[in-house]
Amino acid sequence: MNNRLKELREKALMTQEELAIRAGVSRQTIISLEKGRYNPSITLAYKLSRIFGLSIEEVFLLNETEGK
Amino acid sequence: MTKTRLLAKYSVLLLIGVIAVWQITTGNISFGSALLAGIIIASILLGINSRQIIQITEKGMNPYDERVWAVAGKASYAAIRLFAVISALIVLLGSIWGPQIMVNPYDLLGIALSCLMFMYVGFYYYYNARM
Repeated sequence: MNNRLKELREKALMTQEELAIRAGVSRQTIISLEKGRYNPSITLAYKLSRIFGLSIEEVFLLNETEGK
Repeated sequence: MTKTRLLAKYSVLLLIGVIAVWQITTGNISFGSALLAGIIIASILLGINSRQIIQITEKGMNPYDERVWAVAGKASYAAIRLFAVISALIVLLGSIWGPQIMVNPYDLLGIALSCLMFMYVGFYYYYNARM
């Protein structure tokens, strides 16, 4: 799954630590998410999308090849 | 980590420490010393770990978030799988070609548990770095 977290975070002038605090996770989780190494739970995806005032689909993008 | 959990962990270490001293005084020096060494190492690691957790928590972050559980889950599965395969191979090959040996079941269980723990820790670091 791809995501626009890094782009949105930088646009919001937020550090990884600030985003981690707001989402209630560790900074390592934000790093993993931004690198695309970890797919978040639906709850965390909701939280992160809400922080940027967007819907989940606008932040997280499913690869067409995934799940096939 | 809450203060209660930390206190519980140190209480367990203290209890094992008492057992270690008791074993040394009753003549079981090798077991008691090994136990004591293990407790000292565990106390140091626990101290470092709890300090890091307190720092992360004070910043407002969650050190036990879902990624940690995901890493722990993958590490557990990999460790159990590898342990089962290696154990099965040892049992199979040992039953055919291995010598008949007498072992202390407690020693054997302790060694098996240590191997499993080392595998888990190794896989945890591996998946933590990859994920």
